[in-house]
Amino acid sequence: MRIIIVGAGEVGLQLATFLSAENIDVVVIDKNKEKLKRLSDELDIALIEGEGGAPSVLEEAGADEADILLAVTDMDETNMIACLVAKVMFRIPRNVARIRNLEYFSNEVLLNSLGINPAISPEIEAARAVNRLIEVPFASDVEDFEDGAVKVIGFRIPSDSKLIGKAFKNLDLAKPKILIGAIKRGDKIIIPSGDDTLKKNDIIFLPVQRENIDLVCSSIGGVTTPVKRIMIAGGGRIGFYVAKTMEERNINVKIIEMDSERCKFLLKALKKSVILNGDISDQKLLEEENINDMDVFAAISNNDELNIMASLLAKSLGAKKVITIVNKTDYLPLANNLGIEAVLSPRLITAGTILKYVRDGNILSLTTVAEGQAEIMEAEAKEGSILIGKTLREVELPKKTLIGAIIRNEKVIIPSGNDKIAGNDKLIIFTLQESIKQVEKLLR
Amino acid sequence: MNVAVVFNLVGVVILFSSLFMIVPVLTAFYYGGQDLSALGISFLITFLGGLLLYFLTKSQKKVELKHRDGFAVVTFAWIAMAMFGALPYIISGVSLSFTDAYFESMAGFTTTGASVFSNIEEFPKGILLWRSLTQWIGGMGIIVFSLAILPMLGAGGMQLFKAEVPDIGVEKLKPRIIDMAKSLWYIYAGLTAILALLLWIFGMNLFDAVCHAFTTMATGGFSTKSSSIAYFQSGYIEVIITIFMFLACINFSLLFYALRGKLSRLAKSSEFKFYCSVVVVSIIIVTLNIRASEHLSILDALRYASFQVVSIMTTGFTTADYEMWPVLSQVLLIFLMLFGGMVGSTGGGMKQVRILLMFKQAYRELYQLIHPHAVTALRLDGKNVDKETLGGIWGFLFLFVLIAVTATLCMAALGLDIITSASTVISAMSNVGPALGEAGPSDNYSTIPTAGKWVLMFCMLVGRLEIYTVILLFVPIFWQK
Repeated sequence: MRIIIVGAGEVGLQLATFLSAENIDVVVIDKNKEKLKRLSDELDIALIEGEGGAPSVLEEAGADEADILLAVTDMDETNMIACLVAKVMFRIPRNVARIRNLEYFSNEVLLNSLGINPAISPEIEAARAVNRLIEVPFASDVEDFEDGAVKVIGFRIPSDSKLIGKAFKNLDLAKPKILIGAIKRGDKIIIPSGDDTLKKNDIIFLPVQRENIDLVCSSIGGVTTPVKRIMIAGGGRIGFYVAKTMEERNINVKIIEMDSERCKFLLKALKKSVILNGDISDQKLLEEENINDMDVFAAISNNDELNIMASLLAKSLGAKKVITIVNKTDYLPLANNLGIEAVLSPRLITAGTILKYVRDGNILSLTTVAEGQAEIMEAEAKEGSILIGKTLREVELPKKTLIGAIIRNEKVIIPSGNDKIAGNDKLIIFTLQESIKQVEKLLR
Repeated sequence: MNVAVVFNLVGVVILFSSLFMIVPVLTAFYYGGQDLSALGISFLITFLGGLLLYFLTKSQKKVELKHRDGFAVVTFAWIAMAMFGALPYIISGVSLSFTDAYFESMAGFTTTGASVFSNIEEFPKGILLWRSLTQWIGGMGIIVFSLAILPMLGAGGMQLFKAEVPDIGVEKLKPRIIDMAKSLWYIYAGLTAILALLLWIFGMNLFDAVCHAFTTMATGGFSTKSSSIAYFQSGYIEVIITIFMFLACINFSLLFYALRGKLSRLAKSSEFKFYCSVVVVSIIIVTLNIRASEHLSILDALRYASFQVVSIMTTGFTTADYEMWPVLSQVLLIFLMLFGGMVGSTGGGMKQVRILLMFKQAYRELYQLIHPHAVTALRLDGKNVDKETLGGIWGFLFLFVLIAVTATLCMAALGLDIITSASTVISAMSNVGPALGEAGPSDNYSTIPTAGKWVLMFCMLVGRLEIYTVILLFVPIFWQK
């Protein structure tokens, strides 16, 4: 398979890193030589210097043989032209574009005629991720499957949890049954077996049916009170989208925005939110606005450093849950270690969303966790797959791979070794990056 | 430098190159030669040596290969490979000294083709085949070969590839290095097979045809006969070998496209055009020059001149004793050695593209003296050449000259005359083989003092790995943490 990536920025780098590790032929195009050089030092891919929308450049990149084009520069227009050229001149079957401008993004006729399928907006993806996190207050990571009916939730094990130190096979949580699909311990990700035990500060990932979220939360020892008040630090695009959704959910929103012009826009566009003009890391302002009563403090301005500082401040002033957006991927491990509950990277999220469209047909949905070390995918067991009719014990899964849930008739079954896979079942599979190719083979 | 990781990979490379030794073992078995046991033992030692190194340095942790580690792996792998490659000569007794055996092996792997042996016709077939095979392995490079076959070198393989193949003007044919290494080896092996077939058809016996095909495509120059290609006294063979020596000096990326029907790539390449002009002009000068002095017919003169010109550009076969030729031709041949083949070919030397860019740069300087305000850019095949690349070439040329001068001084200090000292060093650094003076086309390197042989071995390795990779290990900052 050959994939052409236009744009060697942070998103392009992430995508190239994922894909080249899976033995896919990757060609990256960018007009900035310095950016390309950074990639050439790290990855085994082909690099082409030039304008991504230029037919001659795409031809040089082997667009004739390409299966997918991912246009992810930060210029909407470049991405759109690249997709158009790819569609019209090279007949590339799938063209994904990163589009920021809402006017383009929401115009389906335009996108279709440009051959863009689908368009991905980093801000909207990030806002959705923030929304998912707000929905499950205790989670550090929430990924949706089946339109949110099934979620894979990452929980940080509280230090006083009664689960610590017990082997998984001895965990007796009568109701509801849980199965841990992956554990993040420090920087490492573990796909557990029955003998593994939980440690303090582990983050566990489990598939949960939407109705059971509260039950599962409390059985682990987490808080389940629903969110009523939220403070959003940073009224940019992401902040605006989040605020809008929260208003629809009848949650009290306060937004702090530094730029007074932007505040005026927010005032016009939002109905009930309290708009505050000020510095998001201003302690006085936070205290004045009752930060200690906030269920969630979301630092989602464009400034990474400010976001991290504001989050730490909010945490120390008593905000119950803090969500931080960090753009620079280099800061992610650091931010994770600071005790901030949830750290999001719009670029990683975008790269993860785009990855879904690169996958095989049987994979319905896919998401990466822990900086892309593990993938969680939802896949359909089609008629004719070797999986059908076998119990989970009989299925020979690749190393470090685990079936975390079976979705049958919109019900989640947390499987044991004796459960059989039936036709048209959907499976939630946890796997490490190195085993993805084998998993894809298994599903075919 | 991460010692464990580096030597782990060196172990893999040795293990891999040991497998090549099976070929001469089988040959010796087939011909029933006395060298069978020597080759068998060499194979076992190399295999076990590689295995031991691999397991001794194997670590549980997965460590990433850094840039600098890549250079170290490649250099040490070549040194070790040449050492193990010398075993057959020592154990079989064809060489009585370690230095001579190592010299022969290093001259093999680096495709220099400088030999210390004088009576090679008497050597057993297995040894002779191994001698030719070392050149074939070294021609494209053991790392490139390993990458094509061993997936375990994986992503770190890219660092190794870069250390063995410098990246100026070498286009990445395929997005992934493994695929690229494979295509390179398909071309290489394919052309070798065709050449062997042709030589067989036109009069060589199968054994000689295979050996000469190995050393021709690698631009190596080892022959199974003391008098080299002249032994066969066949115009056809000379023409065939001339053509393939010429092909082997072409950038393999261009050959790749040419074989896929995109000949225009070849025609558009300025390096190729430059290379052709150098070859044609040199052939004309030498032809006219030797026709007058040697009283040859124009056709005979052309035959000797074209063979020698193409050959001296880095292969080093001989059909005539060019030391009897006029001085003009001799000096010209020495310059051609320095020019070498095209970048990305199996040929050695400074590489045509570097010389071409220096010409262009010199012209630009002159142009700018006349038009001080002119905006100029250095372009190669329609693309701008950036300052770093140019700087890299300047550095390369300077180091090349510096090492050549230093090595020549060393040789002179050992009591060799100036012609021998300078020409052997240039020949070794350019991976040619025959030189002038005591190591001329009708002599061999056996009379060079032991210390001199080590100097030349160093020159060969430095030349084959294009200076930087080896020299880096001698720079103090390389070893600083």
